[in-house]
Amino acid sequence: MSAQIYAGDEPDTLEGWRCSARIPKAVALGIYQNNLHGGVSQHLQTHFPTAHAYIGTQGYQFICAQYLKASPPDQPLFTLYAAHFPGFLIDYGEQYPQQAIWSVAARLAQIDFFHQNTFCEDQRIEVEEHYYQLWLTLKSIMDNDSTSLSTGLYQHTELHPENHQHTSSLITLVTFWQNDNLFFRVECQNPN
Amino acid sequence: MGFRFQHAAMILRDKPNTPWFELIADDLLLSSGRQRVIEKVREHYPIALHAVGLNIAGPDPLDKDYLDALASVYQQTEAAWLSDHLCWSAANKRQHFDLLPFAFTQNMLDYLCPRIDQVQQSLKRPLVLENISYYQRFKQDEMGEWDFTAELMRRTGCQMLLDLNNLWTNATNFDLDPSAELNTLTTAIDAKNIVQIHVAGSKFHPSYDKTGRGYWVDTHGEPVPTEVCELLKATYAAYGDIPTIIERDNNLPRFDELESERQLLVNTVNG
Repeated sequence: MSAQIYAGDEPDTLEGWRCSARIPKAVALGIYQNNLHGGVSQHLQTHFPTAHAYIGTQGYQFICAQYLKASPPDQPLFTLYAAHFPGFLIDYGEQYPQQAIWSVAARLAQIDFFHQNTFCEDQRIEVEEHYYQLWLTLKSIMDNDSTSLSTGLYQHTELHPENHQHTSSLITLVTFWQNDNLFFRVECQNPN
Repeated sequence: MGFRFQHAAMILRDKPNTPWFELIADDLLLSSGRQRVIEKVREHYPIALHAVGLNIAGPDPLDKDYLDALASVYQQTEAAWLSDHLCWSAANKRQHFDLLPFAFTQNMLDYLCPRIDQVQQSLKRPLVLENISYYQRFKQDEMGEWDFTAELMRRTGCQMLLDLNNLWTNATNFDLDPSAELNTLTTAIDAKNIVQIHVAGSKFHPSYDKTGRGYWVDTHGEPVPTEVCELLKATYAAYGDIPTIIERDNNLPRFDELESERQLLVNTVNG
């Protein structure tokens, strides 16, 4: 059953299944497959909201399916699986250098993961200032207009990945508590 | 109410009049600093823990690291109980991040009992197991779901988290009467063995074939429907009051909207 859910086909091989009139075998298998593929995509969207908004829903589902295919999860904690997603995006971007969107999304995903999964003060991450500024711009757009996110913000001319390929100086983001909420700020700027 | 970290700042700031929270144990197993948030929640509210990765019915040995981490969090948080699901979620070390069914057979009872014993020895408390939603059954089934669960509890001393939306969804998808299913359950399982109830909503998928009846998928993304609310009333009538939460993971509304839904549910059930 596990193999059929992962494979995405072969409902006829599930001979031991007893199905209802409402849910034929192929539909039941489709529900489990959608729970796996849709669930992974949805959880990855929760961990990487800015990267998702940048790529757009269709592209994000595509890259999540690629990730699931290349690296099936082997540990029960989803956060551990999500932690390797930015690295996968970097590798995928190097594999397809003509598609600049993946390497930009990888940098956004690194900041997303830090933002979504850090709950301690004085936690640090080093990022390129340019990508942090892009991340802030995307956050601002997402906060003000969630209706245009499904097509991918990368399509905006000023946000297009071709315009975000250059390197910039490194900055350090550090977390701090305020009013029972965790924020991060730029700690210092290092010369590149 | 199910505690979700998206609501943490608001809950800690406003201290809403919610009686207690169920926390996802898996969110607390990494050293991410979330423990600090939970310590603050614990100052104001009783909590229970709910896990999703135990894979109690899976073919692989129990994940010792995961189990040790669960036991540690259970001890640290002093939660009232810890629950997971009567299902499998991984096979051959490949995770599904889903709750998947198995056949209700004598062999599965024999397989599950030592695994539940192992978990309970680690937790030093009874394990609480939740009934899941499923979209097919197995030709190998030798008994009904509630007889299987009752026998498992008799043999191991584990207890039950009754998910009424899963009961309703399964019964409806298999064209069974949900009320009759609940009667079967209350006949098979004693009140003392039900420690918690979940209510939630499923999503309807219309059918385009000749049956035209459609089916329901458990999404945790919809408000609690009237039918599940009626089942909750019937359960309280049969068992007495049992700690209950609204389970919501998708289409997550603001916390005050969820709290309003809880109040409405309380008024409806009591009215």
